[in-house]
Amino acid sequence: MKNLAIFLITFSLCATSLSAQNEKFQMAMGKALGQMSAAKGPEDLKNTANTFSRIASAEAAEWLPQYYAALTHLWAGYSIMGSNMTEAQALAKTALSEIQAGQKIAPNESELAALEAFAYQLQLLEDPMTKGAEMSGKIFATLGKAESLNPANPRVYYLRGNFTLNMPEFFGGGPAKAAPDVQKAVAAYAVFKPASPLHPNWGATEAGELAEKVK
Amino acid sequence: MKKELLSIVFGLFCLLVHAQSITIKGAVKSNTGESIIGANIVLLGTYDGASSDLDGQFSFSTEEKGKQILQITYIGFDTLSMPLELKGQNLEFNLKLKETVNELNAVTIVAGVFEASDTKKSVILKSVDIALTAGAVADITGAMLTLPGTVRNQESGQLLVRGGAAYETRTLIDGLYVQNAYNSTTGNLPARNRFSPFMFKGMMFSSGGYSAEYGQALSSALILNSSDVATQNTTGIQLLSVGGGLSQQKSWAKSSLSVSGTYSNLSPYFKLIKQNFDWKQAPESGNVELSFKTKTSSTGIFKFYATGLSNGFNMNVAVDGDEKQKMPLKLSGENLYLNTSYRDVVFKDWTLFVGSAYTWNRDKIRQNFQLNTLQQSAQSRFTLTKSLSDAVKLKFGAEHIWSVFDENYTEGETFKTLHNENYLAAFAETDLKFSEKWLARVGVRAEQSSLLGRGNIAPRLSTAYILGKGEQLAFSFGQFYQTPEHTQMRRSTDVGFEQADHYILTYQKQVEGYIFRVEGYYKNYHNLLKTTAELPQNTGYGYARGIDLFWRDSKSIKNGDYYVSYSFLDTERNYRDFPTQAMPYFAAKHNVAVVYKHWIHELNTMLSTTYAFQSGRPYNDPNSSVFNGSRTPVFQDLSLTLSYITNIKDNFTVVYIAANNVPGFRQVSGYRFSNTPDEQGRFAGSPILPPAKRFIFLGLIMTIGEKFVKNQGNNDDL
Repeated sequence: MKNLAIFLITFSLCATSLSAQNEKFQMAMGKALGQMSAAKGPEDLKNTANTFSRIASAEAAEWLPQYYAALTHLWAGYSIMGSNMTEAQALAKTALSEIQAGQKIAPNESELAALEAFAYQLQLLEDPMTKGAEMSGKIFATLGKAESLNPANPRVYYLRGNFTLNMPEFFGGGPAKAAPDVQKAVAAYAVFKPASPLHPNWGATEAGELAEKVK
Repeated sequence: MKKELLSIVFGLFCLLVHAQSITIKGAVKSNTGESIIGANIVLLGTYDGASSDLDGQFSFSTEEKGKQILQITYIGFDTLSMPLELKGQNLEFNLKLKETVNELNAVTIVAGVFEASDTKKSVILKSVDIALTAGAVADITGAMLTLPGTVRNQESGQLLVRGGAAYETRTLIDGLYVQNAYNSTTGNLPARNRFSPFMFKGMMFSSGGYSAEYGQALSSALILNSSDVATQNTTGIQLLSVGGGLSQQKSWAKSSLSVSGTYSNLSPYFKLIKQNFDWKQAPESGNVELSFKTKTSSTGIFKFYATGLSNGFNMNVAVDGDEKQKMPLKLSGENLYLNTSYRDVVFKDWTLFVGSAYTWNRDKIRQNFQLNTLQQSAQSRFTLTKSLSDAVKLKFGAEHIWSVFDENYTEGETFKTLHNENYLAAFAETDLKFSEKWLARVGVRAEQSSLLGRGNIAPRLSTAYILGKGEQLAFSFGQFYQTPEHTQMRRSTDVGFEQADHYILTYQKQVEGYIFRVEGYYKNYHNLLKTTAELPQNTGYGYARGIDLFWRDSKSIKNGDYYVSYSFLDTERNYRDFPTQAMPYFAAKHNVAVVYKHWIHELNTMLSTTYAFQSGRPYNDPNSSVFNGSRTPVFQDLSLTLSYITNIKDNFTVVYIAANNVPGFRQVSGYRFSNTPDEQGRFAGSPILPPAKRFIFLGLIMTIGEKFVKNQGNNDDL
């Protein structure tokens, strides 16, 4: 009788491929997120990005794999920026196309807009002298959009604080200008609950470190 | 949680039931044979796949069956999609990926061209480089004079390229000719380019062998492309030691409008700093500009630009070269320039450009004579471009220019010159990509001038070949025709076009942070105008040959960036009133420019310095029997600009000081000789010197922008 029950449940799981597919997605994403947190350098990050891209190619209705593929590409880009700016810029470009693919699925996702600004920031760093004025306007506008989509998204304030801090003082940046956003980020992280264990939940530690810098 | 775990276990069980997995493995290499690390291999539509490892190897298992697509992606390479059928056996592949053609590795025509752009990556200079070049004081021409192939000339300030005279260089804005690119000047006073470098998103300085798209320039074309729709609302305030300016820019969703005005007056400055010139009234100028741009569709853009300028001065100048006899010389000039253009994609994949430009320019000079010159021109032009395939691109177009040259010279009696011109030209050119490494551009241009009653057909050819990564060899050939200058055709317009043939060979190597370039050229002039006979004739000729070197390093020095230009020029010609073949006064054998920029982080200051060296230029000493046989002393200049960047009440502000010829080198650009000999039968001569030994310039530019205010607002609402 018990065996029959197991058989029936197994059968139904296999038959209703939808829920099986969902389990498979959860599992693959969970594994990839594990790979992401264990990543030790740009090569690991790029491999993780590959894993997310593979999931994205199979899951046309999910924005999360695109989001994480872009995020890991950007982290890899920021980490190699000093040694290989050309590749860092190629990674930024790839990340932006992944963000766009995500936005086709979830057009009003605040996390994707925030990540878009993070990608623009990497593009600006290629040549701050030439791109500074135009790109900083774009970054603030995109973060403004992310904020209006979800004012509780702590990454909006973290990214804006981080960008403002690194912006030259003559351009309206610096610790004093960054402080309000950083404080807002710390406060937002304290109460933030991701929608699921798979949803974005990064930046709290970095925001804490930033708070020390702007004191 | 427990329930989830249970499902996962079941799911796994479910998968195991079906598991009959096979292994797909292999290696990924580039088309040049290097292993690719981190390529993404995936069975499309499944989760199955892997990344290639440090040796380019990959391996993964799958239990998929039947027809599938294996996709391999890697950044910077073309995606490879490979159909395959899974029948339960293990598979192994050796895969090759092809590098994507992008701006950095694509083959482009480089012979004769120096490009400055903010949007393209493969360029040699950025717009900001032009603005910050010391000694140029944001003058486009001043910055171009630091590039190889040019000759410095303090007395005219214009672009002299590879043995060519000033009139042999043409300036174009958005494909349309600028009839008077410089402000009006005379009497060895340097002119400035009318246009600010900040107006343009890209500039191309062609020192020869340029495209069939353009004509009417024997030597060189300076091609300026104006910026697109502005995205910010800003107010600009400019305070200069010699004047000031105001600008206002407004932007909407699809359009932008900007209006600006500047005024400069050198008289307070001349009161402070001793001048070599005897000024009666210091140079004074006023300028207004208006620019409107609008996006007409996702691909279309309409631009309108108008500028008006009025300038003048008055100084005591020797009459007929006699230093003892001086008389005030008064100049005033007025100029209006309109430029309007429209560009869009039509009929699916043709790019259409239509544009028109209008110039009205009046110069008045008064001394013991009166000279009034009125020039007008109206141009209309169209071009159509289409990519027929990846390998073939076609471009053709036509233009018409109506122009009038009306000159009245009065000294006792009046001499009038009135030239009416209707110039018509058509061109076609095609880019042929024989391979990813080899590109050729073949073009032809036909011109007809009603003033001369003649036409010409000019072939152009450019080709480039990629030797290795960032390494290119290029060759260019072309025939170039130009209508002789109006001032040389006062007695007759029954003459032909002047002609120059260019042959250019270029080698360029570009790796991140470094550029090296060497260019050799030969230029053959014929049918130049000779004015020694009663009527002008096309019997002049000449040649120019030389080597240009360019080296830029923006990597070795932290926060520093420098480039070095060297040109060797050998040129002689027999034209105009030359009695024999000789080196012209606008040429110098050796030319060196070193431009260094350093960002001093602690001081928020940009230091920019330019050193220039030039061997002596020829001048004709009437006391010598050899025509143009004498040489001026060596020319040297060291210019310095310090720009301090700050913010005043959150408004981006630049304060700068610029000084020319800091060490005070004696800069002789030639000699002036009396028209009549003295008692000993000698012609008295005096050196032509700049108006002052040094020129020091102070300025403040403040931009009151929306962006900073908005950012401020976001922070304030906390």
